[in-house]
Amino acid sequence: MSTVIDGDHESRVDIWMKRFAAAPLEMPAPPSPALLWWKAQAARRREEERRATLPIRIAEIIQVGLVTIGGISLAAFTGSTRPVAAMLSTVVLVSAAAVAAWANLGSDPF
Amino acid sequence: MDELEFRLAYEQTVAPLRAYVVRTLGSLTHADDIVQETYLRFLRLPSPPETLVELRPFLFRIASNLMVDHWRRHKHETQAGDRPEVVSPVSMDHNVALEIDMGRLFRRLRPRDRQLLWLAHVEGASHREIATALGLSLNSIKVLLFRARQRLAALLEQSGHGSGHAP
Repeated sequence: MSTVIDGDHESRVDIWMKRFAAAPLEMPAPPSPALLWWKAQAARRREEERRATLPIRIAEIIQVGLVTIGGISLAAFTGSTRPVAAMLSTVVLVSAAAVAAWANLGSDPF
Repeated sequence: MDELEFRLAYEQTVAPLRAYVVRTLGSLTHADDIVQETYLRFLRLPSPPETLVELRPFLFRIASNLMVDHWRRHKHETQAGDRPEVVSPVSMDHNVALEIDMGRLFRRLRPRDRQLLWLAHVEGASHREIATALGLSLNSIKVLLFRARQRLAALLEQSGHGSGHAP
């Protein structure tokens, strides 16, 4: 009995679904494949650019940190009788410059 | 994949994919966004499926996932008013009134039921293909589809479409 009901449901639903799918719809033309292709290429280029500049952006953050620490310690130890402290500050600042140079090594200016 | 290959794949798949998304979602505006995003995601893949047989279920899967995301985002709106955008009719003749009526009735089903019923009855997808498209287990499809059919049959009965002939 239940099989008969299930089969009945299935065929009734099947007929209705096919009628529904065949019912007319006013739809504008789908987006052009050329436009989608162009959008995908633009997105790919943006992603490649983001990936290529990632080391530079990370290095910039490190640089800012190092320059801040180096600058503060230089200001604090200027005129200090402890030359080691001033030298350490200078080392930090030189490191910041080294990070900047490393980050820009791989970048193509053109 | 080059542009020509994409164009061919697009032309062979866009009509059924768009019909699936429009009918299941009930909103043309959102449907076109989802269709577009489906192809953009497909194009972003490093190694996309090459044959049409592989491509079609793959695109339906991306679109199905995007629709689920859409329903999650707009859940409160749909529940509050149950007023999805009505797809605009060609002209207000009998067929169109019928289409609107059928569309409304279909939208009374749960989103997952709509996806299952469309894939099974319109796309003619096998249980395995439906499972792949919807990201569900193969074993659950038979039960879910049976329940979805029951719910639609009950709705048809309630709304006087129960005879199985002219609605």
